Amino acid sequence: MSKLEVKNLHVAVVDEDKSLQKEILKGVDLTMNTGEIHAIMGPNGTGKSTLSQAIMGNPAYKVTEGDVLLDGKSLLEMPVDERARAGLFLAMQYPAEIAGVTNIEFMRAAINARRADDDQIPVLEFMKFLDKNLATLDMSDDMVERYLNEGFSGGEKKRNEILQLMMIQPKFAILDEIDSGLDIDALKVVSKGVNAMRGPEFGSLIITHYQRLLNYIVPDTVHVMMDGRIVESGGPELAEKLEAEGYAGVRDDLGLDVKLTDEI
Amino acid sequence: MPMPETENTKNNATIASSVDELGLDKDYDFGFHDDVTPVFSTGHGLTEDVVRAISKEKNEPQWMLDFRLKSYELYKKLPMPVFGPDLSKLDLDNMLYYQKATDKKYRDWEEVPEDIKNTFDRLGVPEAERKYLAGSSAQYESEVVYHNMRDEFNKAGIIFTDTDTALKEYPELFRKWFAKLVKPSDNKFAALNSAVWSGGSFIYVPKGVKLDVPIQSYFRLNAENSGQFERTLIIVDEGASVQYVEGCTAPNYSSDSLHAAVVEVYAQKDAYMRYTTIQNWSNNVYSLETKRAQAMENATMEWVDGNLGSKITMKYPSVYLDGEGATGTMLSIAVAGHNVDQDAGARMIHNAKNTSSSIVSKSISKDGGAVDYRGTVRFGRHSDGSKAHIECDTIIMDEESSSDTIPYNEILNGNVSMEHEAKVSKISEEQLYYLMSRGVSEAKATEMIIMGFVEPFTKELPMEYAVELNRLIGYEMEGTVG
Amino acid sequence: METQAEIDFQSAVSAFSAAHSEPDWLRNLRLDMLEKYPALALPKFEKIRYQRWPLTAAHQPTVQASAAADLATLDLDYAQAKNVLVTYGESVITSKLDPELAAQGVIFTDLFTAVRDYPELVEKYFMTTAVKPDANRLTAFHTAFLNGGAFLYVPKGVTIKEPIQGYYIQDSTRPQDFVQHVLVVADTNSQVTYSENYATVGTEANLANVVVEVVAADDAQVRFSAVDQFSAATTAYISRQGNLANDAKLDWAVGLMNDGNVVVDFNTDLVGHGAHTEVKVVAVTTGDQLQGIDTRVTNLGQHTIGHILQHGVILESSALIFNGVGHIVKGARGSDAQQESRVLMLSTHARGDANPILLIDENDVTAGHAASVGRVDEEQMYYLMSRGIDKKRAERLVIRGFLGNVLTEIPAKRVRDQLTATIERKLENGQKSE
Repeated sequence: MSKLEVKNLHVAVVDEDKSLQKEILKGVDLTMNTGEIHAIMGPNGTGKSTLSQAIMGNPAYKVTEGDVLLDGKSLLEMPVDERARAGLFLAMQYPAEIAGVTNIEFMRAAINARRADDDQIPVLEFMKFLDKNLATLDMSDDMVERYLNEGFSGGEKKRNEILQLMMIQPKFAILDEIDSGLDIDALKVVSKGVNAMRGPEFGSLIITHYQRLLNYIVPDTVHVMMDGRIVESGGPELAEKLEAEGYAGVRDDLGLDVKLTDEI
Repeated sequence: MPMPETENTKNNATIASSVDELGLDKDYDFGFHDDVTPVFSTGHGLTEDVVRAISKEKNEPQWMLDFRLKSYELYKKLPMPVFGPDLSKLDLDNMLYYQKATDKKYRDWEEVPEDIKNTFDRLGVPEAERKYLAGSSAQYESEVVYHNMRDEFNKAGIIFTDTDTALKEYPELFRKWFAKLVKPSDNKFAALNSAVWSGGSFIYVPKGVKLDVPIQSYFRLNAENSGQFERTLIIVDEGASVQYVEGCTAPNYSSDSLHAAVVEVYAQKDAYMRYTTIQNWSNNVYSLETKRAQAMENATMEWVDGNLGSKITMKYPSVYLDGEGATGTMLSIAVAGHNVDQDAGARMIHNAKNTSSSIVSKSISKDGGAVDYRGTVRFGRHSDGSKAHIECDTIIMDEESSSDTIPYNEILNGNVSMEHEAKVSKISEEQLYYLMSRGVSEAKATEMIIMGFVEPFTKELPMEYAVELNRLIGYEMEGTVG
Repeated sequence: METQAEIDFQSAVSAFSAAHSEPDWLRNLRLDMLEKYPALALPKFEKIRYQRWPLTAAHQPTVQASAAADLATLDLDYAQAKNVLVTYGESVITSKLDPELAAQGVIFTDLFTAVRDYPELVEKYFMTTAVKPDANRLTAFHTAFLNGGAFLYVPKGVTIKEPIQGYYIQDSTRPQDFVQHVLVVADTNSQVTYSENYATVGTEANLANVVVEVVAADDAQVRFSAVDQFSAATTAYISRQGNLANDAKLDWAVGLMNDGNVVVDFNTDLVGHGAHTEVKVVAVTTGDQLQGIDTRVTNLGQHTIGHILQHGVILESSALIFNGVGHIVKGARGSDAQQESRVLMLSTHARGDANPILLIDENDVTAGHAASVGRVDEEQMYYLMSRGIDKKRAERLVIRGFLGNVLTEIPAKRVRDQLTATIERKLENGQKSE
């Protein structure tokens, strides 16, 4: 079993032109183990994506205080690729497009990066595994021959992120708004992929605006995030409450003084 | 090579200062040299007597001697190029203008003298031929030492020989096309080539004959201070098609060598020609070339041009789109490392209706290298309905390196369209982050991005070359990320 | 003969300087440049052959007045403007500045007055920062034969809301050089919108030599617009030079509507950290004129932004050459250089060049250019014609849209309308000759 801990995490975004720092996360605490699925919900502009990028180690996000630990070991000094090899995976909201690099060669490179030079994955084994995962995600063979995310539709990009997740088999996967821009059929497929990963050696942190996704991937724990902090945690029923009352309702229940972005 | 004058001399200071500290490039695979004593050499330097000696040694007709002498006079008069890289360190007086390594040309690889054969064996040249080529030749210093073509292609009437032999064996065909596209007066190095040319390939593909496998030539400089002035002449007759591939390497020396080729390609009506170059000279070679093609009605001329080595390259292959519906393309990559200035590009001259051209240029500079795109697209008065597309992408890998993009677009017709785009940047951090977030190391991620960047080029290469090129680039990129 | 000419000019320039009570520094500078200019190199414009143009064929400088009545033909409407300067030849027709601004220390006056009243301030900035007198033969010639212009100074922290407007009219009712210098200085954290117009009255074949300098100190913001409409008989050198300090911003919007041969030298140096310029140029060429335009932005400071947008329309037998240069020097990390050149060729006898050049010596940058040459957008034509507009009118409308990015930047509605009318006239003429 592995454990991912976020302790009092403060994160700022640096605007290089202005050399200004804007604090986005203001002390996030979160602990999760493999075998668990956690969901983070919250209104726009509250720091959910920042949390995912900071855990993964995006250099644009600066940790000013606190720590992120995997099995007790701090990740903060590790560059993003080391964190990935240590067992983290982030399904991104806006994955980069890279022309000239095919999806399949990239996935092989990613898998082989986790193996010793003299123990690279045999082609047959790789192809079998790939075919199996493609079938789960209802994806066609030609998707993997295309250039990495280039010209992919929004839905194709999301599926492709989940395909990579299934190929790489991380310990912890953070899914950043994997449901945005998906129609209901695609949502079911993506959920199927994530559910297929469920097991004692896999944990996932699902970031979403909507309760809908959580009907398909039922979380063990739901956290509500506002203004850079986790303000409430609970079981799946918390997501339903949010759906019914909206974020403003939860905020008012908690007596928080937080302005929601879309509030007039 | 004639290009309009520019004030682009800003890189010259950097180059000049680094020339002094020019050392041997440890990473260059082909930097070995073999001790081969030439059977004939004109020695260092160039005089009228040298020109006469070359012609005499080759036993040429009078008209060629006259042509050489006239060209030599022009060479003395013409100025050095006033644009682009600094050529002031090029010591033209110390070059060996003509060296003949063997007394004869060979058709059987086993007959090639051992030491020369070794060189090419180490370069993998005959091996490549056995695998997939229709024919191949190898030029060592000034002369072609080996050429061969499969019998089936000989029977189809295709002529593939070295240019000196062509002058003797096909005098009329030769004279009809020789120096019609590139006149000696074109530029100083075209004049020099015209005066001292030796070797190169001569290809004639008769009407309607289509070759589906490429012909290859391999050019090798071996001695120090060598000059190589091959002259290639390719005529693709109506409806015919051919692909030609050339590779170039040289040993590392601390003093400079010069490669000044002239290439003329004629693609007749409905013909198809692809000319692929993988230039991987060592870092002491000046590669100053004049390459020009003419495409007639509905003909297609494609340049595929990879510039990986040399000290300074100046090369702007052109296509004169002289027939209605002709197509010209240039697909190029250039990689400039430490002490290297790649000044390359293309010229597309639209002289007829409904012609189209495309230029795709991918450049990478690193370790203080300078990589420049310099090109011209011209729409003449009679180019109604023509179109051009130009795309130049550059990645500058580090703070020491630079890149200039100097495109000229001249339009003298109202009924044409042209789109031009260029981008210069470092490696995308977003892409790096994405790849690394999947556990790929920074070095590997960088290499993948670079491979992807040049992929439009490599995918056009014959398999063997693509593999080789990827290996070379991978090599170049090693150590880029510390 | 050259020596004879030199002697003549030397005393004439001295006398001219004295007649304007110029300070010693300016007179000496004129004489120095008078001596130097013939030996200096002409400025280099890629692909433009103008070496034989009569750009240094000077007339004897003399102080002479121009008749204000001639200006009626131009229909200038400046009566309502609060801040306006109108010069005609060497004569100042009107010079107005809002007293409130004057009280804040703003200076806007013709150059000779400025040199007399604020000699030190002018001396500090005149051809010291944005361009040097001996930069090339034409700037040196300019300095020697300078005979008009303006000085605009915006003190620290002053924000000017109303646009400042200059009309500089060339008197070509007689042989006379038109050598104008406009110096705009926006001091720290000031803001100003300045708009200028050049035009010609009369049909004499004269030269015009215009140098405009814009010096923007830290955090200054300058919006600059210009409409140049020299006559067919005028051969012009127009140089506009910007120099930006930290976080300064300069927006250029220039319409080149001249009828004669013109070379334009646009240059903006982004010296300070975070300096930012947007250069928008539109040009219409007609007849058999040549307008050759060099637009250059040099990123020297870190995190500087330079964007160039050039749109041109080419008619009849004219030639339009756009050279764009984005130059990022080593050390200008985090900088951005972008340019876009679009040319519409509406004639088969014309010539258009779009040469977008990038010179990049730093890797931590973004740089790009796009250029295109083509005909009028078919889709837009179809849309307009589907609404019942005839083809020629539709074409003119589409072209006006194509040139619109500069039109909208011009603050004074009347100037905007006049520019629109000028474009319309040129296009109609051009369409007729097709």
